[in-house]
Amino acid sequence: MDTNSLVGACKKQDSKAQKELYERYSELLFRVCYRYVKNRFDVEDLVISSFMKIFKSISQFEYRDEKSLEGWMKRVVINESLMLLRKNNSFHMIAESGAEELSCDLSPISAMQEEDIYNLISELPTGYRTVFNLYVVEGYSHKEIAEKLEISENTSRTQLKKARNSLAEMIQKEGGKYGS
Amino acid sequence: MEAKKEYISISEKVARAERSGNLAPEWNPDTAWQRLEAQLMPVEEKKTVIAWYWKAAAIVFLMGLTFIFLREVYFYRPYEKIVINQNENKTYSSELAQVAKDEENISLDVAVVENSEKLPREVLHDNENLERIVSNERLASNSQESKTNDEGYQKLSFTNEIDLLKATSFKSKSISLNGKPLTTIKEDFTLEPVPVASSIKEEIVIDKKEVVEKRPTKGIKFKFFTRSESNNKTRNERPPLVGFASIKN
Repeated sequence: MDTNSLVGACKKQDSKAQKELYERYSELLFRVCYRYVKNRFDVEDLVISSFMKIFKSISQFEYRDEKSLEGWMKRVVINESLMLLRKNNSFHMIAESGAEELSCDLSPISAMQEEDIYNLISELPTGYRTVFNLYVVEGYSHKEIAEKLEISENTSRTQLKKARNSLAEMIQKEGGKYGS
Repeated sequence: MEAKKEYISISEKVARAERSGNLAPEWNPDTAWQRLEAQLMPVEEKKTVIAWYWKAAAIVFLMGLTFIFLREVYFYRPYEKIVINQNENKTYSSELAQVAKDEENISLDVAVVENSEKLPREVLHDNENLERIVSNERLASNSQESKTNDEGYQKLSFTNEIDLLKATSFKSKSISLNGKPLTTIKEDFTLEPVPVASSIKEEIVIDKKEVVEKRPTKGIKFKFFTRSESNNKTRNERPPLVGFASIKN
């Protein structure tokens, strides 16, 4: 079944189509979610609740192409993850005045293997990781991140800077582990 | 600009890594699906229940409509309501009038079936025409015979159609013309009180369609004031009486 038909069937609450959609995208959403929430069991719960929302609101989704579907589902799971993080009060972000321009070099990270980058990001503290994921991986602006996380834009910038510094330090310390 | 390029590179690599399936921890889709399915089930069941509820409601509604249709159209529509002008006694069923003209005596086995308490007394009281509705005394004066048979039906005879029309407020077991049975009430027929909305003018209902097309029956709906001999209440205390007779040709 092509993706468009699959979405159409899901809109009709077809349970077989729902299962197929789940089988196609659950692992991807699990990985996306795991970048934000490190607890495996929490991630499983979030994937389930995300799919519940997806099945509930898919009738309002307008399918354009596979990327649009994937992007929409990712947004759902990311929002679910952020909700959990906010609920658990996982952000301890203190705004630092005068967030400086980013100075550390990210080229060693971008030159790393795909899995290594993923694992490296996952090791960042929650606050850094969340902002880094939203800004660098998902491509949100600081303004959007500030709104999503209910923090100031300045805090978002600071967190990103710290995330980058942390990543640079991690690469320096454990260079061998993350072979570029 | 450099940073932007690096970001794009990182973003793309992360996306590829997420699709590769080589990452830890391992994802077990089956157990999560079982949980998800368990959560989805109640939604489906709920929808099913709601769907059945709507279906049941629709069936009840359609049955109600069918009942109303049959009651109003099939049973009542063939009966043409003829308003009797109590003051002039002119407008009444031509068929019945013809029958009555041809014969001298019309006798009816009648019985009071139901007291129509639903008809408000004020309506009756305010309607001048009611003054002309045949009372028990009038019936008695015009009847040639008055007695109660074993079934509780009162036998009354009338000499002309006017008297019959005026006396049209009882259930008739049979109507005879010169001793010949003219009217027979169907055995399964049940009398019903006339609703409040029905005015007292609905004195006679003739099954015109039946008469014209098949002529197996014609119906007369009776309604009048009466007072039984054992009940000497004043006229205002007397409930109106309603009846229907189908005439078999």
